[in-house]
Amino acid sequence: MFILPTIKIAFRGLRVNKMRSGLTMLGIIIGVAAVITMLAVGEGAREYLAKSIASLGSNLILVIPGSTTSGGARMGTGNTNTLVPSDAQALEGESAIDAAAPMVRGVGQVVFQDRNWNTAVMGTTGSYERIRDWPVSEGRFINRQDVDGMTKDCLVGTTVVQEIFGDEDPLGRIIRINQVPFTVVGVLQKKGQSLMGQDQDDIIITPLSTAMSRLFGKTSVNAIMVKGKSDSLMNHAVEQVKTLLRQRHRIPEGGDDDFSVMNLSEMLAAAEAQTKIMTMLLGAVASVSLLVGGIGIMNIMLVSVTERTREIGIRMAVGARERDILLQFLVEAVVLSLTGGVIGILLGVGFSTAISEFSRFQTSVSLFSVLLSFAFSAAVGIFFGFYPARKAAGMDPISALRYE
Amino acid sequence: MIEAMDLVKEYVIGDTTLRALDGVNLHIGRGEFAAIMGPSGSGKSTFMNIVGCLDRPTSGSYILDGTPVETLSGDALAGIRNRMLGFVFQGFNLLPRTTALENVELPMYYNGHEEDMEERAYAALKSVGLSGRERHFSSQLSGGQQQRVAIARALINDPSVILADEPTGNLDSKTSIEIMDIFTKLNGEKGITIVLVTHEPDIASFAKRRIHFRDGKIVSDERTN
Ligand SMILES: Nc1ncnc2c1ncn2[C@@H]1O[C@H](COP(=O)(O)OP(=O)(O)OP(=O)(O)O)[C@@H](O)[C@H]1O
Ligand SMILES: [Mg+2]
Repeated sequence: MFILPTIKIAFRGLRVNKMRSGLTMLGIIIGVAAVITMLAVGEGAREYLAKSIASLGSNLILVIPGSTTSGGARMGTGNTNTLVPSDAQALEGESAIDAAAPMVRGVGQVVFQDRNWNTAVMGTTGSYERIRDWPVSEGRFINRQDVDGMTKDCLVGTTVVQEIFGDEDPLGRIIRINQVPFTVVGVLQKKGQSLMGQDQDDIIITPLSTAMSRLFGKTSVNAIMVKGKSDSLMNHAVEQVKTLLRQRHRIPEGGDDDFSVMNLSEMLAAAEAQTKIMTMLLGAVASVSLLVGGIGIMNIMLVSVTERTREIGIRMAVGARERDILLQFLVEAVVLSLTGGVIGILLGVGFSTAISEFSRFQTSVSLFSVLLSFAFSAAVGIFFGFYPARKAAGMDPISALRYE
Repeated sequence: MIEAMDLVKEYVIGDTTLRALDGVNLHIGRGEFAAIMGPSGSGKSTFMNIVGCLDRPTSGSYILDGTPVETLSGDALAGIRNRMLGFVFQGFNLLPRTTALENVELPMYYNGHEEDMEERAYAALKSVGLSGRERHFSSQLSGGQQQRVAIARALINDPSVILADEPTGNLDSKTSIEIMDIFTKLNGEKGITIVLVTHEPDIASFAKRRIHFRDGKIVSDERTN
C-alpha cells in the first residue's frame, strides 16, 4: 500500500470527524504555540542581553568607591571619596590590566546659540575609548594632552548633536556646559540603549581634569573602569586591582576595602546563562502541555480504533495486511499531531509578534524552535499513535467483522 | 478450485469444546455455483470463513487453487483475499460515511492499482446496475443498492471465487431475486466460482449444486442439470 493513498485516507478520516479532530489537535496546538512563544520570549531576552553586552565592551571590571559588602552583609557606602585619578594611572601598570579609565559624572546644561539641552556629562581619559570600544565617527577622541593640559575640548554623543546642532556640523563649534565654553573636537559613534534602557548617546565627554575642577569641583572620581588583558586573565586582573588599591589606600591587613570591585563581564555572562536556563525551563514547562496533547491523541486514537473495528475487519477482508492497518492509524495520528503542530507554530509566531508589537519587550522566534516543534509534534504522533495502531493491526478479521 | 479435506474447527469455551466443523470433505470445481444450506449453528459460516482465508481450521487441510493455505503467512492470505476472493456479507459491510465509489475502490488500495482506479470502479458499479449512484454515501442507499455496491467491491479485482454468506438475508424477495440474477450472470458470463450460504430454498434454486450441513457435517450434496 502506497503512503500517499494512506495519507489521503487519513485526511478523509479526520475530515469526517471534524469536531473531534479539532478538539484532539487543540492539545498539540496549545502545546506547540506555548513552546514557540516561550522560546521566543527567552530568545528575545537573551538577544537583548547579548546586544547590551556587546555594546558595553569586553573584559570589563568596574571599581567604585566605598565597600558595598563586608562578610556578606551589605554596608553603607561609607566614604565615597576614596578613588582618585592616580589610582587609575597606577592600575594601568599592572600586568593583567589593559587599560583603566577614571570617570566623573554629572549633569550639565548645554547651550549652543539659542538652543539648550540637559545631558549627562562625563570626564574621563583617552583610555575610555579603548575600554568601551567606543570611537568617534568624526574628529578625534580626547587624549593625554587634553587631560594634562585641562583643555576645554569635548566629545558629543549623537543625541546631543541632534538636539542642539540639528543639521549643522558640530566639529570646531563652541558650546557652553554649565556656563563654561568648550570646543567640540569629536562626535561619538552611535551606541544605542544601555542594559538599563538608558540612551547612551545622550552624553558629553570632557577631559577628566577639566570636569573635576571646572565643572564639578571634585577631587575624587565616581568610578574607574578597568579592561583586563584577556578573558582568561580576568580573575587575575580583579586580584591585581584589589591588591594595588589596598596598598595605595594603606588599608591594614584585615581591614575592609574602601572600594568595591565588580567583574561586569562575569555578571553579564551569568545573566546570559540565567536567561538561557530560564528559556529552557519555559520551553520544558510548555512541552509538558505537548505531552498532554500527545496523550489526548492516544486517547482519541484508541476510541477511534474501537469504534472502527468493523471498518478494520472490512479492510482486512478485502486484502489489507497488518502493516497496512498499522500504517493507516499511525499516519492518522501523525497527520493529527502534525496539523496541530503547524497550526500551533503559526499561532505561536502570531503570539510572539503580538508580544513584540504591544509591549516594549522584543521576542525572537528562532528557526530552531520552529523545527524543534515540528519534529516534536511528529514524534508525539508516532509515539502516541503507535500503541493504538498496533492494537488495530493485531485484530482478528472475523471478530472485527462481527463487532457490533 | 476449492478442496477441503477433513476440516475440523473447534471452539473452546470455558472447559467445553465445541465442534463447529466436524470433518468436512468437499470439492468445488472452477466455475461452479454452489449453495450451502442447513440449520442455524450447523457450521456454514465457520466453513465459509475458512474457505475465505479469514480463519484457519483446527485440523484438516484446505487447498485453494492448488495452494495449501495452511502453509501461507498472514500477509500472503491477505494477498489471496485481495486478488482471488470476493466477499459478500449478509450485513453488506460497507464503510460508513464513504461513497459507493470509494467503497468499490477500497480493495485496489491494497494492491497498488492506482492509475485507473476510478474508471474501474465506475465500470464495476455499472455492471451491477448502479450507474448514477457513485457519489452517494452508503447510508443514502437502500439495502439492495448497498448489496450491489458490496458485489461491485467483491468484483473489482477480478476474483476467481465469490463467497457470499446469506447475501439476501436482509433483503425482500424481489430484491433478493435481482441480486441472485447478478450472481447467475457473473457465474454464467465470467465463469466466476460462486459459493453462497442461504436458508431459503428459492434462493438456493439459483445454484446448480446444493450442499446441506448439519452439526458441522455435510449431510447431502445434490446437483441439478
Ligand atoms: N467465535 C466463536 N466462538 C465460539 N463459538 C463459535 C464462534 N463462531 C461460531 N461458533 C459456534 O460454532 C457453531 C457454528 O456457527 P456458524 O456461525 O458457523 O453457524 P451457521 O451455520 O453459520 O449459522 P447461521 O445459519 O445462524 O448463520 C455455532 O454453534 C456457534 O455458536
Ligand atoms: Mg452464519
